[in-house]
Amino acid sequence: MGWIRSSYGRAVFARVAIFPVPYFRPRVHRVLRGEWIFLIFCAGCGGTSADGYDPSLRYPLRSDPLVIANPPEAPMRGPETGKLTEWFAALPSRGGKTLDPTALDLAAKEKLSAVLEELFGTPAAPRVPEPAATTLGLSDSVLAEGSRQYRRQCAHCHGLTGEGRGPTGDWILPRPRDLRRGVVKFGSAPGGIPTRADLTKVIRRGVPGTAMQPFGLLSDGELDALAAAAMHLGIRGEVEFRLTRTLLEDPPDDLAAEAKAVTANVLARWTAVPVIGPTDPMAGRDEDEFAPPYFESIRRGYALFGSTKSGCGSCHQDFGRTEKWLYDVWGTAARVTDLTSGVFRGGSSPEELFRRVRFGIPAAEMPACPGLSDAEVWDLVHFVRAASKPARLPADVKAMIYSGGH
Amino acid sequence: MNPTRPVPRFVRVWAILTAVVGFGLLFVLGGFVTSFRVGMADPVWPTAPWYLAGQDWHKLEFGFLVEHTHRAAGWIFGALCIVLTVGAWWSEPKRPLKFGGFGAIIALVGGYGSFHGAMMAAGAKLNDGTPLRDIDWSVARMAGIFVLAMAGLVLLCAMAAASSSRPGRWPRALSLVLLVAVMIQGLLGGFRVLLNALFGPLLAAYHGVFAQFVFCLVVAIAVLSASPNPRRILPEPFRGRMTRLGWTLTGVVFLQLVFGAMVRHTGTPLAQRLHILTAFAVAGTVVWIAAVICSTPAARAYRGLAFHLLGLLVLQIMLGVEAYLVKFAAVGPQATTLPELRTITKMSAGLRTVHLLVGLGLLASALVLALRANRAVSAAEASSPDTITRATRPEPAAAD
Repeated sequence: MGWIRSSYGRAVFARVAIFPVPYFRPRVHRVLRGEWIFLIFCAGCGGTSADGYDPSLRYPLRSDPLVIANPPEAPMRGPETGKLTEWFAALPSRGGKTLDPTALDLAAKEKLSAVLEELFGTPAAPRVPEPAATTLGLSDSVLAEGSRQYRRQCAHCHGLTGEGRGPTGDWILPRPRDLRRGVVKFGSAPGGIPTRADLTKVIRRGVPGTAMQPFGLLSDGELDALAAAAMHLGIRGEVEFRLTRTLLEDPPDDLAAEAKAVTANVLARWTAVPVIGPTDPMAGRDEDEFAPPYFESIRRGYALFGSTKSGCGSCHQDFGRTEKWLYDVWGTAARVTDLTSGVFRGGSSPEELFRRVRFGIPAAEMPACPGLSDAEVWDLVHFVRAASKPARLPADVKAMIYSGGH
Repeated sequence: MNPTRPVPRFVRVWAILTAVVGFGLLFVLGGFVTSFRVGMADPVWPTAPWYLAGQDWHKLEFGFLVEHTHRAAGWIFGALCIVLTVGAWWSEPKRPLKFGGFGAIIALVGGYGSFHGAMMAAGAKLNDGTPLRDIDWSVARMAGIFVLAMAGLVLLCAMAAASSSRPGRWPRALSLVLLVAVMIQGLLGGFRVLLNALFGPLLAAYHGVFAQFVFCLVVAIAVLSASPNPRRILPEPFRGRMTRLGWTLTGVVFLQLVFGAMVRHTGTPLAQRLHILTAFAVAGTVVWIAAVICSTPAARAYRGLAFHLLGLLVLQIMLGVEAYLVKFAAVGPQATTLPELRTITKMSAGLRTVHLLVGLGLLASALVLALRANRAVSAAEASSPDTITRATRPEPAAAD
C-alpha cells in the first residue's frame, strides 16, 4: 500500500472521490466546528488550535543538546521511539560532540530569549528582520497566518519551535524533521537549504514512507503560509543554534550585536539559495520505458551503480536491502534507502532523482557525484527508478537483482 | 430454545464476547491512539484488513503499530458485529421481514466490502502512476450509493422489528442499528485519516464519541437478549423512578464523555470546564441512585450494581484528577510550552487511557441499570417454569 506514499494522490483522491471538497468544505467545516455545537468548540473561549497562539506565549529556548559533531563510526541503527533523549545523551560516549544548552546561566538565557524575540517575534506574531523578510516573502501577515496553520497542522509532530519533538514526534519513525537546522534532505538546491517551492511541495504531497501526510487538500494560500512558517522556524532555529553555541563556547561581549551579525549571515544564505536542476530534464531519457535504448540505459546504470566511480553500492549494499544507517546533520541516524522498495521519500520523479544523485543529500551524508556526466546520472536514475519494478528491468539485470546473481 | 429467552442464547453469548473484545481490544488501542497522538502515524487509508499481517513487525515503529492494531481490532470488532446481527436477526418470527432483512444485511455488507475494495483499487492505480483523470471512480461511487440505500433499508427493517410486540424485538432491531453504526464508525475512523488536513482532530473526536454509542448498542443487545430475572423486577411506581434515574445517569455520563472526548482531542478551555462540571453531575446522580437502591428493600437485587457504580465513580474521579494533571500541569521545560504540545510518556498515556476505559465502563453500567430497571416480565415469561423456578430460588444477600 505504498500508493498514497508515492505522490499526493491521496489528497487528490479524497478531493475527487469522496466528495467535491471545494464546494462542501466551508459548509461541512462550519457544521463540524462552529454552529450547532458551537458551545463545545466556542472560539470565543480562546480554545481551539485553529485560533492561533496566545499573544503572551513565547518561543521556549531549546533545551535539547546541540550536536556539534557526529561519532566517526556509523551507527548500527537509529534512535528508537520515545528514546531520543537517551540517544543524544549517548553520542559523546560514541565519539560525538554535543553541547548542553541548559548549562547556560539564567541571565544568559534571558538575554538570548530577549534577543531572539526581538528578531523573530513570538508564536502569535512571528517576524523576520528586513530586508530579508521582503526578499523571502515572509511578511508579518503571512507569518502570522502560517503560524496559526502550523499550530493546527504541524505542531503536534514538529513542536512549537520546529524541534521535531512534538507529542506525536516521539512515537513515530522516521522522526519528524527538526526544522531548526535550516536544512532539509530533499531540496532543489545543492546545499540543503530549502526554497519556498521545495517546502510547499513537501507539504502538499507529504513524504512517502513516513508519517508526514500530504496536505494537498489545503488551499494554495494555506500551503504557502505553512511553508513560510517552516522557513521562519528554520531561520530562527539556525540563529538560535549558533548563538547558543557561541554563548556556551565563547560568550560575546555584546550578544545583541552578535545576534544581528549571525542573523544577517543566516539570512544571506537563505536569500541566495542557488536552485540548480538538471540542465536538460529530458536528456538521456527515452519516453518508451520498454524500448531497447531504455533497457540499455538501465544496464549502464546498473553497471555504474556497482562501480567505484559512482560508489553507490558501498552504502546501498544489496541495492539497499542490507540495513545500513548513517548519521545525519541533526545527530540522529537515517537508514540507507532500500531501492527495491520503490519508496523514495524525496520524490520519485526523474528530475528529483537526478538532483539527488548529482548533488547528494548533504544532510544525511549521501555524497554528491560531481564526477559523473549528465548522461551517466540519467543512466543511474533510470536504473534506480526501475529497480523496484522487476517487470521494467531487462532480464539480465532483473536476474542479478532478484535472483541473487550479483 | 428456552421460552423465556427473547432471542437464542448464542446471541447473548456473542454480544458479551463482542462487548469484551470491543472494550478490551478496540477501546484500549483506540485510547492509546489518542493518548499517544498517533492517529496520523500512517496517513494511508484505506488499507486491507490483513494489511498488518504482511508487514515486517520488527521494523514497525510504536505509533504505526498502535494505529494499525487499532484498525485491525476494528475489523475484528466489525466482523463480530456482523455475526451478532445475523444471529439476532435469525430469530425474527415474521418470515417476510426476516428474509427481507437478511437480504438487506447481505447486500449492505457486500456493498460495504465493494466500496472499500473499489477505494483500494483506485488507490493502487494511483500508486502505479495512473493519472487521476484516467481512473474509473464509478465503481466506488456506485458502491457508496448502494451502501447508503441498503443502510436505509436495514434501518427500515429495524423500525419494523421494533414496532412489533413480539419478545426479542429490541435485540433484533438494535442489532441492525449496530450493523449500520459500526460501518459508520469505521468510515469515521477512515475519514479522520483521509481528511485530517481539513478537519484536524475534530473527526477523531467524533470517531471517539460515536464509539461510545456503538459500544452502548452492543451492551444493550447483551442485556436485552438475556432471560428476564424475576428478582430484578421492580414494583411500580419504583420501577419507573429507577428507570428514569438510570437513563438520566446514562445521559449525563454520555454527555460527560462527549466533553471528555473534546478535552482529549481539542483541549479547549470550555470543554475542560464542561467535562469537570458534568463530573459533579455524574457523581451526584450515582450517589443519588445508590442511596435510593440501598434504602429500598424491593431493589435489593440492584445493590451489587449500585456498589459497582460507586466503586467505578471513586476510581474514575481519582483517575480523572491524575489524567488532568498529567495533561495540563507541568514543570521544567515542559511548562514553557502548550499543554497540547507537551511530551507524552507511556505512564501519562496509560493513565489517560485507563481514565477513558473506566468512563466507558461507567457508561455501560449506567445503561445496564436503566435497561434492567425498565424491564417488565411479559405474561408468557411470567408463566414459564424457568421464571417460576428462578423466582422461588433462595436468594443470597446482595446477589446480582
